[in-house]
Amino acid sequence: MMENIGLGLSLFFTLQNFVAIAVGVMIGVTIGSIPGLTATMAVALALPFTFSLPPVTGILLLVGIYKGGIFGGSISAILIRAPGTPAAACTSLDGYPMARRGEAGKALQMALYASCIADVISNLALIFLAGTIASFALEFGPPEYFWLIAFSLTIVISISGSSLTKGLISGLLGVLLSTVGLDLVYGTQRLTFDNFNLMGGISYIPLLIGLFAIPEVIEFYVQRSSNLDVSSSDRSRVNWSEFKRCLPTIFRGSLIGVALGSVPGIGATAASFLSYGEARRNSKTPETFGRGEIKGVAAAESGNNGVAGATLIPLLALGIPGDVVTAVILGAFMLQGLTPGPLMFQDNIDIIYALFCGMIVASIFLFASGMFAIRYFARITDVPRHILIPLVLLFCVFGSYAVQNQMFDVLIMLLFGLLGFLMARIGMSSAPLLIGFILGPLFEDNLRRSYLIANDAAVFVRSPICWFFIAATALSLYVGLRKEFQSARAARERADAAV
Amino acid sequence: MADTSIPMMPAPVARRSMRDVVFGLGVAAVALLFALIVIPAFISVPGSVKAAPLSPAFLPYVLTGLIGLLGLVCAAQSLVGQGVPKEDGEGFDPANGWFFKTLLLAAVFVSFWWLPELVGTLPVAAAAMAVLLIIGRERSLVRGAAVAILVPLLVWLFFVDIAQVPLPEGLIEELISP
Repeated sequence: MMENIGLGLSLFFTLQNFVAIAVGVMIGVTIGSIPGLTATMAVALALPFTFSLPPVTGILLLVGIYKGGIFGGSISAILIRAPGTPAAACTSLDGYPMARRGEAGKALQMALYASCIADVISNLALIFLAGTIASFALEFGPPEYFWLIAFSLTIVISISGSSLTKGLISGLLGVLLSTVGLDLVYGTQRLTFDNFNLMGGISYIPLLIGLFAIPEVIEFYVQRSSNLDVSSSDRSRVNWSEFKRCLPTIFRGSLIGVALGSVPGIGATAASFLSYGEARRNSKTPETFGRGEIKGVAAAESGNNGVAGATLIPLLALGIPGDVVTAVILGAFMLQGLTPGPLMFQDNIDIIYALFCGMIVASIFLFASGMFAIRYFARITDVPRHILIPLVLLFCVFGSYAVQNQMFDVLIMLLFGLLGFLMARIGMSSAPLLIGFILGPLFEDNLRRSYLIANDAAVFVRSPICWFFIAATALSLYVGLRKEFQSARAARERADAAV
Repeated sequence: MADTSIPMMPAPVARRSMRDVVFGLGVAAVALLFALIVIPAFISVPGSVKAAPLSPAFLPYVLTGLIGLLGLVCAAQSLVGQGVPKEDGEGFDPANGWFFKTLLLAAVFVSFWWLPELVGTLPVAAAAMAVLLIIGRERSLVRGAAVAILVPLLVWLFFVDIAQVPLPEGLIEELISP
C-alpha cells in the first residue's frame, strides 16, 4: 500500500498538476459567479482541452473547475441575488439580505469557509469511505430513492417563509411545473400546449434566474427606492465567535452533502436546501433565517460543497456518474483509456492516489482563490445600483440564452421573473418552487419505476432503508409543522402586541 | 430644531387580509379549471396504463387537487383571522412614475425576447441599457452613453468569444463576420 501511495504522490507532484488545479479553480470561480454559466457548462467546455494532457492533469483540471464553480455560484447569489448555480439559490436566501445591510464581505467569507471545510470533509469521505459508502448507495432502488426524495421535499416546510400554506402551494407548483414535457414512461405530451420548445420540459437555469434575479430588477424600478437601499463600502468580516457559532452547522451540512452526494442522482441543490432546513430546524431563532442569518449561508454552502467530493464516490468506486458533471468527468477518464470502477482500484491505484492528493490540494487552492475573489467581487456592491441592475439583466438574458442557445429560454426566464415578483408581493416564497421543481422529476420517476417493478404498493416498504426514510419523513413533517405553527403563533402575538 | 413630523402610528395588522382571501379563492378556482379543462385537454393518457400511479396524468391531478385545497385553506385562514401578519417587503409600495417605468421595463423585456434574432443581441442590449439608465435616472450624459455602449459590448464579447455562446447576430452579422 505504501508503495502505491508513493507512486501516487510521485505522479501528482508535478508543476503542471498544480497549474491545472489553480487554473481550473479560478476558471470555475469566475464562470460559476456568472448567472447562467454553470459549473457543468464550464467542465463540459474544458473537456476537449484534457485530450492532450496526462490523465491526472486533465482530470484535476476538470475537478478544479467543478469545485470552483460550485463556490463561485454563491458570489452572485450573495451580491446580486442571481445564483450562479442552482445550488447557490439557497445561499441567496440569507446571503443577499446580509449584502443588503452592508455585510456582503462577511457573507462571502462565511460562504468560502463553509465551502472549503465541507470540501475537505467530502474529500476525506471519498478517500477513506469510498468503498463502504458506494456499496451502501448500491442498496438504493427506486422505492428507497422515492422515500429519500420524499424526505428531502419536507424541507419545503422550513423554507416557506412567513406563510406555510403559501410555501406549500409554491412547492407543489414547482413539482407541477416539473411535469411539463414528454412523459418518460409513455412518451406522450404533458402540458406542452403543442409547443415543441416545451417537449424537453422547462429548463431549470432560466427558471432559477427568473425567480431569483428578475424580481430584484423589477423592484428596483417600480418600488419606492427607500425599500431597496443596499449598503456599500463593505468592510465586514467573519469574527472568531461567529465562525465558532457556525461550525456545528457547517459540519452537519457537510455530512448531509456527503450523504446525498454519494447517492447518484440527488445533487447539490437538494443537499444545500436540506442542510439549510436542518439548520433552521435546529436553531433557537428560526425566525432570523431568510433575513440575513449567517448560519443560513454556512448551512447552504456546506451542504452544496459537501457534495463535491462525495459525488465522485459512486464514480470512482462503481463507475456510476452521480450527476451531469461526473458524467463529463467519466468521459474524460474514458478518453484517457481509463475505466472508473472496482478494477481501477486494482489496475490504476497510483492514479487514484494522485487524484486524491489533487483533490485535497484543490481545496487549498479553492480557499486561496476564494479569498482573492472575495476581495474584488465584494466591490460590486460599490457600483451604483442604477448601473448594476441593467448589467444584472444583461447577464440574466445572455446567461439564459446560453443554456440551450434559444430565445425561448429568455422568455421563460422573463415570465418566471414576473411570477417571482408577484409571489414576493403576496408573501409567497419562491425557494419552495425551485426545490419542488428540481426534486419533482426524481420523485415522480422513482414513484413510477417502483410501480413498474412490482405493480404493488407494498414495494414502498420493502427494505429497512425505506422504513428509515419513512420514519425520517414523518418525524421531519411533525417537527417542522409544529415549529412552523409555533413561529406563526408567536408572530401573530408579536403583531397584536405592537397594535 | 423641533421635530415637526407627524408621529407614525403602528399599521394595523392585516391578519384578516382580503388580499389573501382573494388569492386563496383564486388559486382554488384556477386549480379547478386546471383539473377540469387543462389536464384532460393537454395530457394524453394511453389506454395501456395498468395502474393509476403509472398514468402521466396521475401526479398532475394529485398536485392540482392539493394546490386547490391549500388555496381554500389559505382563504379560510384569512377569513377566521388566523392569517400570518404581513412581512417587510410584502405588498406594493410604488415609486414615483412607477406606471411609466413599468411600461418601459415591459418594453425592454419584450424587446429582449423578440428583437435579438431580428436586430442582433448587441444593439438590443445597448438600447435596453440606455433605456434602463434613463429610467434609473443617470444624470451624466457622457457616462450614460459610455456605459450603454461599453458594458453590453464587453458582456457580449465575453459570452461570444470566451464562453463560445452563439448569441443571435441579426443585422450586425455582416459587420462582424470575417
